[in-house]
Amino acid sequence: MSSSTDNTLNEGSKRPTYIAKHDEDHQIQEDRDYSISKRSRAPTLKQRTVTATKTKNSAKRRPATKRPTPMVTRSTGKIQPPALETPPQSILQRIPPGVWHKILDYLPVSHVPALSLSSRFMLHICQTWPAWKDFCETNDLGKPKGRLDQAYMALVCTESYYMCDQCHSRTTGTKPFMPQEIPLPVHHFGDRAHLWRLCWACRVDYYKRYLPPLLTIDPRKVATVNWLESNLHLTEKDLEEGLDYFYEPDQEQLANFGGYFLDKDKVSRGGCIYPSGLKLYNKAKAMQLAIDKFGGAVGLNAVRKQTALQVERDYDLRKHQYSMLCWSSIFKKK
Amino acid sequence: MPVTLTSLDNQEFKVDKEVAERSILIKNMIEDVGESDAPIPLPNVSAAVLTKVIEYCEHHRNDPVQVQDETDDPRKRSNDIEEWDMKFMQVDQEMLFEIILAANYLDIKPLLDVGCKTVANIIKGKTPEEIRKAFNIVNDFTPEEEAQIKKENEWAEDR
Repeated sequence: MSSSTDNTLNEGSKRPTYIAKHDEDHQIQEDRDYSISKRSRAPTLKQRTVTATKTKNSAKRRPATKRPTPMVTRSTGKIQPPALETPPQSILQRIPPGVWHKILDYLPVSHVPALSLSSRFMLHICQTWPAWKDFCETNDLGKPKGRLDQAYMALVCTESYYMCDQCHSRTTGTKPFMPQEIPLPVHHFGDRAHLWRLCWACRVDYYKRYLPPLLTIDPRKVATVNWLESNLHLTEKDLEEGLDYFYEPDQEQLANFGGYFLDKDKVSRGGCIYPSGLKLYNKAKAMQLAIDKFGGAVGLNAVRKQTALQVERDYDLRKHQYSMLCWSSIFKKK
Repeated sequence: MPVTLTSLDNQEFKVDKEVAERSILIKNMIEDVGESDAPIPLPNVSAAVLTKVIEYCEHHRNDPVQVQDETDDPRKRSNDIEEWDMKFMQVDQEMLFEIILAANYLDIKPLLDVGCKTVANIIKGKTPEEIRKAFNIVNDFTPEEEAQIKKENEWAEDR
């Protein structure tokens, strides 16, 4: 502002410049007071109007409002909201989701839902685990209703009765009816503290590499022989297929166990005709048969206890509940 | 030739180039910059964590470099941890997660794998309550929410 224009009208403010100058001087003084009083009072409307025409020097003296500067991420180049308002995070929340998903990759699938129940953050981590979608795609489970990534977890959990922890395949053992094929709990080698649910193929593969302890049987007792027989659970269908779980003992065994073998042609008990061969069992042989046919003693017991049927009933119930949940969520959205 | 690494708290560490290059991040930085005595700043890693990471890299300096395999076996085992690595990971939880973060930042895949396996072993076989206790997690679900999530994401019981 030049001094020759002191008495002329300031066109911008429609006020004489001397008034403006007075105001400006006044403002400078006020600014000083403002800074001295440590910003104890807010500038008035008049002060703000004059500030619009103030010099650069006075502008420097004006208290600067603190604005959080936006951050630009290196990888994506996207502007992120300032970090000032985010609450302090725990160390768990500082771990990127990608790393959490890597941790989940090392867990048996059946152990993941327990983690999801620990907190909201963990639930989010578990729900966004990409493996759920992969399970659905590889096992033709279809898409969850609502097409949300989160819903894939619920869909896989519904199918959990038939999910193998190791190969992540779905085995129902119904087509054809092979009840021993469903995933059953096994104490995994090197991880004996925890149970892994393995399907028949994984159990056979597993037991070929890590032989299980032999069945505790004493073939010299008839009761034990009967127990093993009932555990092997021979059905008429098996007999028709010509499956033979018996083996011929060597001479020494025959001498030791003589008297405890039966022959199909000679003996019948309770209307059931026994198959040919000798009812003498070698523990290792019996176990090998149990592995090959049933995927270990666990499969053998499952067949005996008709576990597959119980599982099927529970699965049907769960499937019904899941479809109800889906429909109720759709209605809620509408 | 030694390489100087500077931690978050401006502490300098002189390590062999061979050891430093266990980290893909540092390896790429050295390749980009070329022969230089300038220290490499690692602003995301504190001195305490960097000491541990260097200890790991020193021990595994002669290991063959792990190639990123896209067709990784999904049946990963969390129990195949070497004895030395298992002892190395016997630290408090804060440090364990700091090592994982540093391994992720520095791109040291074997260290990240060991860290992830260790955490997986802590989680394995635990109930939600036990997991909360293990990691000091606060249960922020309402009882209704918890019941609903339990219903939706329940895994079949073992028989």
